[in-house]
Amino acid sequence: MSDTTAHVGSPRYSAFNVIAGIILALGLVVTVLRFSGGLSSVTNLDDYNPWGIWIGFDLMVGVALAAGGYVTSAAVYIFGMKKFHSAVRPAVLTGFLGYTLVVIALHYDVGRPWRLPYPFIMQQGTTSLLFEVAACVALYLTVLFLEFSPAALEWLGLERARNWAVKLTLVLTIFGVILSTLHQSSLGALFLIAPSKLHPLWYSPFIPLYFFVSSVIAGLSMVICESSMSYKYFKDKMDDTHMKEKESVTLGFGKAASLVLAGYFVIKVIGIASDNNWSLLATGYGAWYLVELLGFVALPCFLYAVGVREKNITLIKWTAAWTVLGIVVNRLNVSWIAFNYHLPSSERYFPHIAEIVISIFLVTVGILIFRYIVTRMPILYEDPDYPQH
Amino acid sequence: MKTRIIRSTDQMEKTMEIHTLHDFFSHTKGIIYILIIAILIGMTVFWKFLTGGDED
Amino acid sequence: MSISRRQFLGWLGAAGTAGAGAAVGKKAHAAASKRFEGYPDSDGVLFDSTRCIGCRKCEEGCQKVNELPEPDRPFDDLTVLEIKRRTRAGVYTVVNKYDTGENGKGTVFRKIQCNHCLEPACASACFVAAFTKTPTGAVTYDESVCVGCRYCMIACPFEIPTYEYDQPLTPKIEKCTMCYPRITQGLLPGCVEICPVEALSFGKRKDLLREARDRIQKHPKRYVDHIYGEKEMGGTNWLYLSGVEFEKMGMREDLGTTSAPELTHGALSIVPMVVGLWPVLLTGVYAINKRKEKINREEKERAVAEALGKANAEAQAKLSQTMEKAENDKKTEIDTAVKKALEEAAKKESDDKETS
Repeated sequence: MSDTTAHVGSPRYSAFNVIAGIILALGLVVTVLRFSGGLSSVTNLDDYNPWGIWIGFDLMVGVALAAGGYVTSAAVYIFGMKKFHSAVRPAVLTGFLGYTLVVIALHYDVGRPWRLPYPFIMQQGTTSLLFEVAACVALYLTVLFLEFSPAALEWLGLERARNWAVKLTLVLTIFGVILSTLHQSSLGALFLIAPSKLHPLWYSPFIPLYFFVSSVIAGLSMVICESSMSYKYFKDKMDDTHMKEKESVTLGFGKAASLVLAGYFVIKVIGIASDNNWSLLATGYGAWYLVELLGFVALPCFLYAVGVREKNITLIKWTAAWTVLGIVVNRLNVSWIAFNYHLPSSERYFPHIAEIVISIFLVTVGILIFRYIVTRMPILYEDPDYPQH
Repeated sequence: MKTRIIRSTDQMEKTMEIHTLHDFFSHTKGIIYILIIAILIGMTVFWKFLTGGDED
Repeated sequence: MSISRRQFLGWLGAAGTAGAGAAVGKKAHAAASKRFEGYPDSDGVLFDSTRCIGCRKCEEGCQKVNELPEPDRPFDDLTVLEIKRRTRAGVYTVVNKYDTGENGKGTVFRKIQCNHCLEPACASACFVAAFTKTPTGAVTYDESVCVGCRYCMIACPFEIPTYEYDQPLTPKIEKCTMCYPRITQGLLPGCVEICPVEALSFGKRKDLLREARDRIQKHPKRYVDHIYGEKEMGGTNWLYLSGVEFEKMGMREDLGTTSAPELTHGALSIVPMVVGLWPVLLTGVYAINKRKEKINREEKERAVAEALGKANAEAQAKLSQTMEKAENDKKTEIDTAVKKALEEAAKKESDDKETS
């Protein structure tokens, strides 16, 4: 472990560590305020705007960006793309941490967090799409934990348990895809109940489908981003296989993302046509919708394609970051910008600084745990004692 | 006070019948959720059974 | 083996009844054959805005019977009507004033509270089923299971449920209950009881609808020809009459008539289909890939074996050739050696002869 501490203590990290420390301290202060003074002391939420960025960003964006886990494991274990094998563990880890943080964020947002299991143990609100989301997120968190466990068990040297967990790979992957299909789409379907509150350009009977398809895009793009960040900061932890496959992962996932973005663009346009919303495109909201559709869907689709054709890894990486930003824009549009569009601006919501602090705090916690794990467990390299093939 | 209470004479019918779409869906979805759990387990077992004859 | 067909059908029937009795306990008709029109004798309230004088008495009555906190400004202070208010924690109902600018109708008042939908969006949205549509028509809320997710507030098209944002650990949703505890005892809701001008009428919804139509018919100039709440979002137990367009009283007329369960049912019904078909699709793709891999492996093995066989045969042929050659060489060598020896022997013999 001595090499790890030396690595973390290197000058490049000290600045990061100081900033991270400040964020953690601020986050803890807000945490105390939240659980002593209630939501009104740290948020701008009100009776018109019951959901803020803790739902719009931490939950909606968090879940979408954690989709890399199911996308990658499905590509490798079900669709047989073995050459992406080295991408599975980092993607599953990112997914697992992402979902964990989503659940932590919910503890801040809901009124009585210890009652979060109530939908399962007390009364089942089966007509609610939120019940569906809750059930799937709870189950999928378990699935991700089990998918991630081999790495931890190898680290701990528990061979028998590790071998048992590895045997579950296929069934876990299939469960993961089913559960992800369901709750990714249901997150969008949450808004189906409020046609009078969400702007018609974003409200669509196809919204569950949009959320599911865009989660695949988010997953693919996040794997590319995560891979290039890992290479930048944890290069010394990568083994030869990982190094060798890194480029093919970026190219392959970039190609897939371009294709899925094309499909996503098409179904979005069909959505406009089926609701006859063309005239709304000429309004202010319409302009913003076009920014999302053309700037964050069509443009990255094209840029990915160019990057893949020209084997331009740098272009693909930047496009991936842009696409991730586009997913953030989309989820915030649905849950915040275009939600309550009918209200006068004085009754609209804008996040309180403390809400932003908690969101940044949780992302920082995620990065720190990711760093802790990849510098210790066999994530970016294969443990020589446990060859995976 | 003639319009304060407007009520016809027949008594409130006590019944177990389902009257709202909401109750109907809570009823059917409840059963479906139980079925889903059964399907997830059943499919796993069935897949094991189906591929049990394969050599590897 | 002598089970008659009739017997078998009888068993089916018995099993069906028993199953329904045990698991269901309710008589559920198939969705396709039945329309759900709400509890037939549910109660409701008719609010006639042409009668409302904006006295805030209903607010007072509500606060008293529900033991809500005292208001910021006393109920006889009518200046609060100048600002737009809404329901909030501790306030189940408010009256707002609207200047319509219409000749002769001018200023109108509207009372805001839970409309007690026939198909409540809050109940449909709640993942712990904390809301209940009771047979009385009242939509009630059970604090003891509420997690505080506030999805009901997102779902409500009338923006009625409120939340105790200042409670750190025990916040609850608050909304009008149509005075459920009172109406089950045969008492009137607090607001209806106190109203001095009979702007509020309590009764069975179907009777109220009849009454409302009656008033519109008798006074076509006084009312717009629309009973708000008859169809909005699938219908509500609270009904409204107005002399001006409802939109002028801040009531949305673009809500449509589709109820909350209808809006979400489609997405929810896909769930079991995904669970049923995704495993088939995914294991199918897996099996195809596995088979492809197996065929690839076998082909590779065969190719290797063939190549090996060919190489072997070639090597064998070469070997035997070499061997033959070597043998031939040896033979020649031996022959030569023998020949040489014979020649030498012959030479020696002749030499011997010469010396002797």
